[in-house]
Amino acid sequence: MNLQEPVAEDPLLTVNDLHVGFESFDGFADVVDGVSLSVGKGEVVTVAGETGCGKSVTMKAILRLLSEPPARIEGDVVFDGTHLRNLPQKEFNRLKGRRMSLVFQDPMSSLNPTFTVGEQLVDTAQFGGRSDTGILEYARRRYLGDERAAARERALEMLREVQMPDPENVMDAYPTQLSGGMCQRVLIAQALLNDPELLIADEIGTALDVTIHDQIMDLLHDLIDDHDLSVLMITHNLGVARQVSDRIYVMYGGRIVETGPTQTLFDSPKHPYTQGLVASIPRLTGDTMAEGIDGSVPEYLDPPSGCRFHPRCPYAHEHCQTARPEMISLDDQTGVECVLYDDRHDAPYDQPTLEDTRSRMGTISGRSNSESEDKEPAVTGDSGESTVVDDAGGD
Amino acid sequence: MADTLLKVEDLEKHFPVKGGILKRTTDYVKAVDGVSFDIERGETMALIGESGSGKSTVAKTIIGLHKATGGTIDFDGQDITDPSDDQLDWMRSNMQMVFQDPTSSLNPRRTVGKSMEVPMESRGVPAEERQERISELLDLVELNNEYLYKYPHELSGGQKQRINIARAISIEPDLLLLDEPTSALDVSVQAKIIGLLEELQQELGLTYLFITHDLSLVRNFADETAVMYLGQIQEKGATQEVFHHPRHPYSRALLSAIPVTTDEEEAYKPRREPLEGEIPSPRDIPSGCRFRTRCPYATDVCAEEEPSFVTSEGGPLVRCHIYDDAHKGVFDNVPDMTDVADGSGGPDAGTARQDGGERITKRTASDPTARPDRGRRKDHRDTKS
Repeated sequence: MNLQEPVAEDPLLTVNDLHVGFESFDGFADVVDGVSLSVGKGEVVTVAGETGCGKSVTMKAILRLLSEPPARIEGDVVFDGTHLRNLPQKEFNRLKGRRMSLVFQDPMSSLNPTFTVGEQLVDTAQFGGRSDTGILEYARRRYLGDERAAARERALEMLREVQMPDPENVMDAYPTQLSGGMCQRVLIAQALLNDPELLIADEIGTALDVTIHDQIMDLLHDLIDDHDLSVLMITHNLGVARQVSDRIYVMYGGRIVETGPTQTLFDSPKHPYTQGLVASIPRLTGDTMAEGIDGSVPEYLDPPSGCRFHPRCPYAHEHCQTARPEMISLDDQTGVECVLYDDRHDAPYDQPTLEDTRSRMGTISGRSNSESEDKEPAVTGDSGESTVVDDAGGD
Repeated sequence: MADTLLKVEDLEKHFPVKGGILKRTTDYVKAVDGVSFDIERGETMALIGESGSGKSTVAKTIIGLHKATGGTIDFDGQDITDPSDDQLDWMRSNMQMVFQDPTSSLNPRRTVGKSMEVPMESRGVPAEERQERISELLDLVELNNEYLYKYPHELSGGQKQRINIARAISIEPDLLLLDEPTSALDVSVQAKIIGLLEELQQELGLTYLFITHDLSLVRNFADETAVMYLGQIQEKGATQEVFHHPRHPYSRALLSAIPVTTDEEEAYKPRREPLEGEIPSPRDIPSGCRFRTRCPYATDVCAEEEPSFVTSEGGPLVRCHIYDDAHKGVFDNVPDMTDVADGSGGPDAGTARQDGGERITKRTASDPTARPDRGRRKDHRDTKS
């Protein structure tokens, strides 16, 4: 057992011990508390977690989108050998415009409503990452020569690649004239115009309907393959994470609590939080679904001591309240931040399986599979409680 | 015969579109266009579909927030399509609604206690009984008296939704209209709320109309399911049947598009039939079958004739020509029902699942960067084209 963070083999983006806090009138909100993650070249990595777990803040800190103050950021962000945190703004902008791009959550509000889609795309193609272009230079390149026409051609090409229906007309349309799915396609096209190496996608497509979302995910698959992109994806939907990613980081309360290859993580989730989350997802097959995790995400003004999940954890004991658990690597790709997996620590519980956690949480019966649904009590909380007693007694 | 609590027949809600200098009605948005269903007392009926399919409009029309432009609504034996003031009064104490956004449905300037008192006040519950009732209700939704003097902004989303539910059941209604009650919440909280709703149904004998776009939730929660598309129900029947053997191409597409988290569910889904394009505008509904513009099976007959409900093999009611005997032979391509795994796993389903499983292990073993699911999705597409 070693305590190294599991790291991608050939990392394009590495985040090391990132801390993000915010000064506010009520005090200091300690939101992201030591996040380390890495995205390998050609890898699709997902950060999954519930609302308020610090996923988007992490992403914004990586891209320097938070103004300091009120934000207070510490830690290291390395992109392909370059330390981003202390890079001059000009150079960072260039890097951000050319080699990384970002797709935001809400497709409708991410486009400027006062410009046509074409103008926005062509400007990105021509001036992406060059915020230092002077007015004369801008006017010359925009109105003289054939650079603009070439950029327009490139934008059109990109719209075709994202399977936009009727791309010529869309170029001259305003964002309000497009549907959500079309706006999302425009945003993806815009993100890929300058051939980035890293794509950061924040809840891509979650604002869309399930059939449209499906189309967008399909498109994204193809684009990732065709452009050989490395992707850092942020989502709260574990189903989506499973569909696209190679590796998953599960975030809770501003910390990474578990990481592993997608298949492993879903087959045998390790951290009690991940287990609770996986068990709470309603199943299409109508299997029983756990009753959910008690409580809610922590207040960052006064986060719980020790392990931040301990107020909601069915396996919490004294040790959890005092010491922050270390990231325990189980092999070179999986890691879990929980004392139950720490050999040096003598925990009163065994390492929990998904089933253990499910029975502790209590379940809601899947009604459609049972013929005699009326006779069955809806909530089988009794059995869950009795297991708790048994386990505690056994120790 | 079971006791029908709510009976909706051919419900129509057309919103006029005004235009021109004289603001004359130039067009109609046909949000709900002939919806019929009934709910037995104590049962849960789910209404599912994409945004813009008219689900919420149905609920709002039933409770009287919109006036129906056609059809009838029968509630507990009374016709409430065009309710009189007395009827409205009676209706509102027997039927309540829980809205999607827990935050905006609570008055930010009222404490929880006050918010909960208002419905009782208007229903004429004597003042001395109210406090006790509120405590009981808070207890019922697994909160306590500590919350009485809190303001909505002090509560989390899940707690607010509990308050909303408590408020809705405070006047002991028979029917609850749940309009996406959990879609603003996270999964771990969503499971809690669903558990609570199930418990309340058992204890109080409530009847639910559950509106959602999250299909996997319905599977666990509803007795009957109706799939809506562009203001019409396309398929309706027992939840198990609809999920087991979805017949309508739209239901199949909806089900196959859900991102799931286990291999069993992956095998359970119908074969992927991605839909082209987007939902058309309800101002300009396609002729014939309204789904035909996106349907992978559509033929000429779909454009000419509007399908009516047919049953197929005693299963759910389906609004699709494919299952209509009158049009047998017109379709050279029909949904393949054998690829859907039934509970025990049919022979085809079994092999399909095994294949998928092997493929995953092979890929992950030989190449650590392989993406099992993406590979599988591609395979599905290849077999289809």
